[in-house]
Amino acid sequence: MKDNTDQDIIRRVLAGEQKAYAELIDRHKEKAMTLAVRMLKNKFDAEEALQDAFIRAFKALPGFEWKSSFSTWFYRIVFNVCSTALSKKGNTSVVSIDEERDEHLSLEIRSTDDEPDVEYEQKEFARIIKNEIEMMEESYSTILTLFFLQEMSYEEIMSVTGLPLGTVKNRLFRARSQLRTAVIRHFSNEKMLESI
Amino acid sequence: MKNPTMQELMEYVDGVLEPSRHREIENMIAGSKSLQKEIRMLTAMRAVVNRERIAPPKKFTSEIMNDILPQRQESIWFRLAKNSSNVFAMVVVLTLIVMALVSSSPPSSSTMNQLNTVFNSFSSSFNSTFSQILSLVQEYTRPIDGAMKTILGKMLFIGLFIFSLLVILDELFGKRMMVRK
Repeated sequence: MKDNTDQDIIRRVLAGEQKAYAELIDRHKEKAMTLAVRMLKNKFDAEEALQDAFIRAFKALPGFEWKSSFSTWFYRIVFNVCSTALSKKGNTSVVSIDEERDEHLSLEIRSTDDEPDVEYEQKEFARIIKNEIEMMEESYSTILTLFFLQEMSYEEIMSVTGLPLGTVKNRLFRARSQLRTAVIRHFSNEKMLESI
Repeated sequence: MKNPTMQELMEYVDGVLEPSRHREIENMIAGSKSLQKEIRMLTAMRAVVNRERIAPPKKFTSEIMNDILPQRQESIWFRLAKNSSNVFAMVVVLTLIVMALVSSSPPSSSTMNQLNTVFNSFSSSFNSTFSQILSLVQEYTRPIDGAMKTILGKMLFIGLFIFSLLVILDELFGKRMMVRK
């Protein structure tokens, strides 16, 4: 059962085995929940939006045309549901006007020969990244999640979000730059960089 | 060879750079400690984001499936069976009240006769099967034997019979009535 592809499960659902949809939910719920939380910045709202997205996807399944993968199609639904929820809440993405401007951050990192506490610093590194993503503007954390967690290509992200390639690349760059800045700010020297 | 920009380093980590530029940057990284550290940090960042999962509550899937899957519609029998417990309780309470009134001030013989006529006519319709069950019940429940001859006993028995009948009917027909939400 577990080795079934999304396609196999969808075929079973469409053939009348509706209970098989639970497998599809279990397969995608964690990543989808992560995306929803990153967009809505609230677990309760994210859970509600995700339930709505799964039910919408189920109802729309007979019309699924296999033009893209199920995950791309489904995450487009999640994205749209969350975007609607955001607009209802009055939260619209505020992206600075120089978003499209190319930026090249400094690569300067001081060197040191000290031995860092590897385990602690790895945990600290992960904590900083998570905190920074939580605080990150929704339009950036969404792209970051789609790219890293969902492992989507630029083209797939464009398909999900409806954004042009330049914007996708730029938001991804800015999101990563923000994470990098937070890490460098936290670790005033490069000790941690040795251990990560 | 120009130094790589941060954007290029990120694209290098993602593996989406053009092959020629990828090779150039690879050579530069090999000769630069600071670039190696930068690449290590970008890779670690990617790994952290990639690893993180936010799990929905445990009942998440079952709640969605409850919304999606066809639900059992409450048939008329099911509703009757469900509500009959209330009706049965009410009948019992009313009977107790009636019995209390009867014991405190016995009704006229004509009223008793009317009631007996009603119950007699009701029980006679079930007579063929009912009397046998009744005799069995009387045999095994000698302490309430006397009660079965009273109005309370009869009403309790009739109430139980109706309740059981509704439950059986619901089991037979209720579950077959499915409807999609």
